[in-house]
Amino acid sequence: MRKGTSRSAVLALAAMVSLPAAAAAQAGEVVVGNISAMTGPTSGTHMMCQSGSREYLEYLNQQGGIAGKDGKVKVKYLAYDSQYVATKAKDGFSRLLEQKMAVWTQCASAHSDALIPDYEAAQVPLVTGSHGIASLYSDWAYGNYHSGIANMIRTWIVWEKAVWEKAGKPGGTLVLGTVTSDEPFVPLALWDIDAFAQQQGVKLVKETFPKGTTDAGPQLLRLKDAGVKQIYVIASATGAVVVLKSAKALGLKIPMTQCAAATLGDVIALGGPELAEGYQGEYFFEPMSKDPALGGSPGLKLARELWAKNHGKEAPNDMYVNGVLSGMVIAEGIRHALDAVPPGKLTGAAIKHGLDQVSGFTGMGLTQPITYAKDDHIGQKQVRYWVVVKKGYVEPVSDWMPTTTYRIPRK
Amino acid sequence: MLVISGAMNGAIYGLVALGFVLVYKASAVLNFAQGYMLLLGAYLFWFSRVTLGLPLVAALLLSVGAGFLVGILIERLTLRRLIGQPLISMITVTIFLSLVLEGLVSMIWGTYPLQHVTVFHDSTIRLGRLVLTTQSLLAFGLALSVAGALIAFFRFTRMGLAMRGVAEGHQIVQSMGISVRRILSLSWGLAGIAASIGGILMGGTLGFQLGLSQIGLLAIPAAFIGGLESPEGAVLGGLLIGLSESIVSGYVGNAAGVPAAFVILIATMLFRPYGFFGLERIERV
Amino acid sequence: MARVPFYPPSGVYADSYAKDMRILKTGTQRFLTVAGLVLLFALPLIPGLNGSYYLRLIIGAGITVIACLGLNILTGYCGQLNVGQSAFVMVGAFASGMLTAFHGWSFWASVVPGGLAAAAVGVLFGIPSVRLKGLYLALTTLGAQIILTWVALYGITVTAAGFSVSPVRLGPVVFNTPQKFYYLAMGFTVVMTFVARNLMRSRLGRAFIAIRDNDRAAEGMGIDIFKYKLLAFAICTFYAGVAGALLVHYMMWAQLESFTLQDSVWYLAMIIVGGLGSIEGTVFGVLFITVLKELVLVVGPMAQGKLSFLPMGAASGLLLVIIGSIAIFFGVLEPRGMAHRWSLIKAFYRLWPFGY
Repeated sequence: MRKGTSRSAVLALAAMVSLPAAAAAQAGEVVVGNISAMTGPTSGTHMMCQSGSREYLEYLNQQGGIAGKDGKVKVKYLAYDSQYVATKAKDGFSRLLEQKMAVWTQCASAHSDALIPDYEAAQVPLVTGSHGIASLYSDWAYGNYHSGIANMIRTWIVWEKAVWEKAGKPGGTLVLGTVTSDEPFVPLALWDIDAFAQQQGVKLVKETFPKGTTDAGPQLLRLKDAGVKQIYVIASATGAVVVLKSAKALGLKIPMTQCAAATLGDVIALGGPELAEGYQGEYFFEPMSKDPALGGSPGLKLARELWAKNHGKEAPNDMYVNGVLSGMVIAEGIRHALDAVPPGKLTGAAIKHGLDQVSGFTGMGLTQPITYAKDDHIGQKQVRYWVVVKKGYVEPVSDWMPTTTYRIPRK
Repeated sequence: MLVISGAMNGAIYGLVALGFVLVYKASAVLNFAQGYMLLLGAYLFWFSRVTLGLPLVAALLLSVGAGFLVGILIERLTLRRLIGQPLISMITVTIFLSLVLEGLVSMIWGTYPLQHVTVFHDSTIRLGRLVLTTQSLLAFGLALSVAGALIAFFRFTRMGLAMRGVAEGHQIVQSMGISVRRILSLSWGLAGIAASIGGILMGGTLGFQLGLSQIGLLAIPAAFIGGLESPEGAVLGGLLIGLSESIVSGYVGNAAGVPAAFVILIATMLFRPYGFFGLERIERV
Repeated sequence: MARVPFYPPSGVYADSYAKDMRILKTGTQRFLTVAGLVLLFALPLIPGLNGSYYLRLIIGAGITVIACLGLNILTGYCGQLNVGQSAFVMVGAFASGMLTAFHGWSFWASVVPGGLAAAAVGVLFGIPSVRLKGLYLALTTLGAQIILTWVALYGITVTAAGFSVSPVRLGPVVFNTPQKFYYLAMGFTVVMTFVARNLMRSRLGRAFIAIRDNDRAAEGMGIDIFKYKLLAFAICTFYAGVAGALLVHYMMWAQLESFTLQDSVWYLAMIIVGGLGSIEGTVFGVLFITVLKELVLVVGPMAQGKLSFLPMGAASGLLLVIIGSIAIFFGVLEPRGMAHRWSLIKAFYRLWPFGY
């Protein structure tokens, strides 16, 4: 017994002494925190997001910092490895808080939910493209897009229905299919979806394949037998590659669309451009895989420059743009905050106030206008569908269109 | 259709499960790093194919050879020092080993998936409603032939017998004049080869990414089902898991295949406690 | 008249059975225990050491200690391998969390039901242990991990989505900050450690050890191995359930992603590093791995800037290599766990200056 307690105290002490004291923010600096999985299987996406916001904010530092009417600050960007564990994310939040973090960003919706009590109590706003369910209701969470995971398939159904109606309703009823891998977010993505499909007058056929399998052939065949006209794929990029391979093997010609859980760029990288050709997907921002021949917004140009400067040798990635966008929203919030308070008073609450002022912000054309209202921090609510063309680039197949705005009940 | 697709999928599981069985059979250690050896093998193949630009066959040989060396190196640097110590400490070391391997891979190649590279051209063979891909046929064939070779090895060679002895106890075998070191070294090398082959096949299908390690771990159940000591069991276990995945998921839905496989298995294990092909141990007090 | 030596004898000698059975045998032990407990509970009051971050680390370690104590009782003392401990933590977490979040129970009333729910499920998965042994038993606990996760994902809507849980209250005190929750977590950890320690030196503990060493022989000695194996499963998973109940009220958010096979493997790694079949070893192992994993923080920011020539994520990769290597080095150096080295040090201290 004694060993247990006395030793735990001694070792805990040793642990503390071995960690350096938290460095406080310098004058004229604002600390932006990031909590994401920097190791483990999800680290690929998370590091992309993190690099995007980090490198954009560092770029602003090189340009002289973020300036408002009341002064100018530089950003100190600190990151913590959550290892995709919620308790670790909590530890990291405390750690960053002790380092005077005033605003934070992340890339895992699970973290944005689990940390709600913490960032609400600490009064540190969250800016992210990755909303959880509960954080949609939090006054301290700001999204740069995305109206919640359950809207991905809903919006797609609305889109497919509009296309079908335009074509003169071939077949009488519209039969749509979805194939999902058993990732933890899938039940959320399909939340109460049957009622929605029924209300839309669409027949929805659902199939699931296990995570880690290398063949989704049986599921696709059953969708084909059910006579579906379009298939929506709710899976990670790995799952999407499995679906595409199986479809190719079966000679299946039904068009398929990837949900935003993975980008088309990821699918191209994993499965190769040949396999991905013709695959559709959705973006809330302008992707880096966009065919350079099509040009791009100033924001996309900047993102491409930052990428070339920092990761010249690596293949570009769409999630990087997502990170850049989060960085832009943070900077915009700080800019507005500096209109009201001097740099010395740039607290989380001040930045939240600044974020509340954000209106019609497009991130240099990267996305549709973001305006935050008092009880609506979701950001822009439009999505655009893209398709993979030859050479592994993507081009738009639809215009920007409004997403549905369903919210999963908080409890 | 469901049966064929399940069997093909299961063959890959079986191939990966063979890696677990190899190490277990020679050292009674469940190698938690197997998934990560698979990852390293896949990345080594990518390195020799893309970075070095070698032709396919050369890249395959090089990466499989490198996998063998990695296995031997792992044994030499870590487990060699644990000969004669409790087995459980070896198992923990393999857990930590997985950290080192994952770290190495992300240090050299980064955390983002590598650029796609085609391993085998995926042509399809159609037999009525049946569709087979060359990739899955290859995996199927490879799994069966590797398993066959191993069964023969364990059954008919002195070295194989010695390996089985090492699993029984280090001291006894040592005193019989068999070098425990050599045997362990060899079995890890072989496990490295199995991991590399599995990694290359998986990488070709799912892309070269860190997630391969997790998929590698999914083969653990397959190894258990067949009995940890038995190569033929591993392949059969893989097939069983693959089948139940595709059939149960097919008819019940909601990805119930794997849990269902476990429910059936646990029930079965009550009657066959050592798996289907495991070695029954007679214990004396 | 016998001369009373002016120095204490080297070694510990008990002259009565009661003395031999005492948990704290010497004055030094009593002193260290009291000092340790005082330090442990005074920690949030010491300026400089009471930052939320440090306290959170200790809280996390404390909750992990509870889960690992259970695991060590089952695996270390009773010899039944369990590779699904985090699934049982999940059962406790969801059971207790749902009781407080949806049925208006107080945390205090929900801890034991949380533990019991986990124990009930644990016993169910423990039944195959009648026939299965060693690594094969791992199949059933592995199955528990997979089946229970599946049920939580597809079977119950609230657990699939995650739900928020209100903080623990005791009268006017709300345990919603690390400084306050620290006392709750440490209280539970100390009590559960004490209970484990006591259980393991009782008839029950001796039966477990007998089963571990040789179950046939144990049966021959008249131990009902089926009953005792199930009891070990029940105790193990009860501990897991209590850890889960604490965890969910500490997080104030219940979600599926916190309970993975990876966590179960780590729990196992912790007790093996610390020492199988040792209560203090459990604490040792948890602290060792916690500190090691936290090294990411110290080296991470330093490495990040200097490694920009390597691909994205390389810095964290390097840390993994370092952490893994240290752990392997340690495992090779101390294959019997830290508790073994600890007992050697203790023996040295007791026998000094007449060690042999």
